[in-house]
Formats: sequence, structure tokens, C-alpha cells
Amino acid sequence: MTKIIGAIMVTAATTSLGVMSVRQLKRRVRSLRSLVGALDIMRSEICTRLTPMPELLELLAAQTEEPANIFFANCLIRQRSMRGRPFAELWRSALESTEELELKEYELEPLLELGPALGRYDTDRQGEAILAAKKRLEAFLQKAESERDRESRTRAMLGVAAGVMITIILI
Amino acid sequence: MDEEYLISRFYSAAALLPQGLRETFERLSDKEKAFAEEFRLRAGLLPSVLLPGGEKRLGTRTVSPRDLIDTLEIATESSLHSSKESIRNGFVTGLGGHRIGICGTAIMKNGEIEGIRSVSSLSVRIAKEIKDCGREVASKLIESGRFMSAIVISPPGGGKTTLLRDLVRQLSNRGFRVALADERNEIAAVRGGVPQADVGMRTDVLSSCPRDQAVMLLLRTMNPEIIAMDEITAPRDARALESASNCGVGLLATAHALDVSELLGRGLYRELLSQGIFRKAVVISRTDGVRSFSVQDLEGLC
Repeated sequence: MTKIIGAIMVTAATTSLGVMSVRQLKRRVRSLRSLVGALDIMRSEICTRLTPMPELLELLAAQTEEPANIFFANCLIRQRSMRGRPFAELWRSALESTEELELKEYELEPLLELGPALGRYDTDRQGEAILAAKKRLEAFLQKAESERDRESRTRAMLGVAAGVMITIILI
Repeated sequence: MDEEYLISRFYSAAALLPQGLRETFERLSDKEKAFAEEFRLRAGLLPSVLLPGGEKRLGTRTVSPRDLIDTLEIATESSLHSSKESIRNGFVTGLGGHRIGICGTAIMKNGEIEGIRSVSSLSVRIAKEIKDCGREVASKLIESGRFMSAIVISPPGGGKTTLLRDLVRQLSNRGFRVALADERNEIAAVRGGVPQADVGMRTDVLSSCPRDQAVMLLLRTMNPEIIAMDEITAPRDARALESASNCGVGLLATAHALDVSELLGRGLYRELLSQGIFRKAVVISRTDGVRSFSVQDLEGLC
């Protein structure tokens, strides 16, 4: 009886590890998608409506999908509390502290590079910088989506299989 | 005037500067902070403060081009793109209503200034609200309960905007419905729809709109008794004033001139005065750093 309970527990644990890994893939896709959408809004607000940055951050924090909205809310908090500091600095700080983005270092790079271009140049240059960052994020999104489609089932199955394997070895 | 208030305005303007520069200005004595009128930042030179007695150079660290860009970024809350129109006119209005004049290389497009690149110097004018400085002047501009249209004159930096702000407040609180065309947003310093300066309880503010368009818009929509504006500089401003004047609205404006005779020597103003659009001139003069105001009748001068 103890062996059966142990086997079930081991299998459940490895299965949940597999499921967590699948969820992580999905969260990464959601994160990249929300950021791509946010950059679209950002570009049109800056280039078309000339929206001031505090107002823009408020809008993005309220209207974009999670977790991009958390990132922009963090930017807004920093802009209010770090008055007198360059925007690039608070942008970087918000990026580094928004763990909900769950992005890999190389996926954060386009956003880190975008920071210094925001708020201090004319609309054309900012628009170009946003577009360039968006294109790079879109490429990452595509890659993350195919990774998710390709590996979701494999990772879930691997979790179950690993559990069964460990149980057999232990028994 | 309250020294504490003046010092607080100094710090409010200094907050627009990058940290290194800010510290240089903050080393001034309290008396100098209270009397400071402008911060002057020129690339490659020491920063200086404009005091009633003239400019005083500060510190040992020269201003870098990066300092100038950082100042503009801080002052506009990283929203330089939103100030495109005012940059075209050579200034931005920072938080707290402090006006920052910009010099650099003009970008020309179709014969008009499109923007300014390679910023070479900035002048941060410390906005000060001097309540009641216009109390006596306001009384002299009202005759038999009627406001007499007036033009406030002084050379640049003479205190026109400060006096205009208080006149608007005085007239508004005395029962006149005042519409304020605040193109540079330095009179009322509106932020999030709320004026940061006290411009009176019956004042409607239209900010960041070209003066000529603002006058017509206010006339059509706000039913004003008085329209106030800063610095008439272009023929189109004068034409808008003529139209407003024909609608029975009182006008209050400012212009750069030493005195009335200098004003009459310039075509744009001579025409306005000859049409009787302004009935009074408020002349600001300065002796030993102390400002005084005199109200003169303009009728019969042209």
C-alpha cells in the first residue's frame, strides 16, 4: 500500500513539474504578446497624439494585457518617485524588477535598448526605435509560440513518464 | 515678499536640473536663492544665475551638452515630443510653470522652424507668483465698474508675466469673468487640468494654444468679459485682438517695450493703439532691482 501511495506521489510530482514547465512556456508567450501590443499603443500615442510620458504610462498600465501592464505600472511609480533621474534609468529599473515578465535575458534586450530612445527625441526617432524593438520582440514571440506548440505535449508527457520511470526503478 | 516662498520657487526650478548642476545652484546663499531670476546654462561654460545685479558664474564644472538634454528631459517629464510646438517657438514650460528658453541650431523646413537640434544653451526662468502685486494697478484699470483694456509693458525679464498673473487673479476675484489665453502655460501652469498658480475664481484657462486661435476660441465658447494673454508679437495676434475688441470684450495683454513712446514707435502696436483697443498702459520700471508700476492713459496719444 505504501509503495502504491509513494508511486502515485512521485508520478504526481514529476507530472506537475512537466505541467509547470508547459505553463512557463505559455506565460512567456503571453508576456511577449502583451509587450508587442503595448509597443503598438505606445508608438501610436507618441507619434500621433504626442501623449506626454506620464499620461502614456498611466494609459499603458491601465489598458495593456498582463504582465505588460505591471511593467508599465512599475515605470509610472518610478517616474513619480525618481523625479530628476533620466527616463532610461527608471525604465531599466522597472524592467529588472518586473519578475512577472518571465523573459530570458536576451528577450529583455530590445526593451533595455529602447529606454534611452524614449522621451528625449522627436516623434520620428522614437517611433523608429519603438518599431525596431517591436520587430525584435515579434521574432521572439514567434519563436516562443512554436516552442510552446512543439514542446507543450512533450514536456507534459515527459513529466508523467519520468514519474513512472522513477517508480519502476524504486520498486 | 515671503523669502521662504521665493526660496521654495528656487528649489522648484532647480529640481528641473540634472543632479550635478542642481547641487551647484543649491550652494547659493538663501538670499541669493530668494532673488534668483534665471538659471543660465551654456554648453562648455560655467553655469550662472541671474540676480538683480546681473549674472553670477557658479562652481568649477562646466555645462555639458548632455546636461542640457537631461534638463529638457527632466523638465518635460520625458515628453519632449509633446512640446514639439513650443520647441518650435524656442521654449518649453517645465513642471511648476518655469519657462525654459532654448538655443541651438534651428531645423528649417519650408522656410519655417521645425525644431531645434544641437542645443547650445538654456535659460530657466524661475516662475514666481507674487500675490497682490497688482492690487493697486487692478483698481486703476476699473472705471465705473468697467474694465479698461490695458497693455502691460516692460523690457524682457521686467516682470510682465508675474504682474499679468496677479492682475488676472485680482480682476477675476473682483467679479469679472476672465478667459486666459496661456500659450506658453507659464501664467497658470496648468497640470492635469488644474492651474498650479492662483489665477482667480472666475478664470477659464486655455493653455498651449496659439494666441490668435485661443482668443477666437475663447470668445466663441466661454463668454468672457475680459480676455488676457501674454506678449503680443505677431500681426495675427493683433488681428485677433481687434476682433475681440469689436465684440465688447475687455483686453489685457503684455508687450516688450521700455515705455509708451517706444511702443508707439513700432507699427504693430501703433496700429492697435490708434484703434483705441487699449485704453491704459501699465508701465513696469525698475530702480535698484525694485519694480514699480505706473498706469497711463492712452486716449489721445495716437
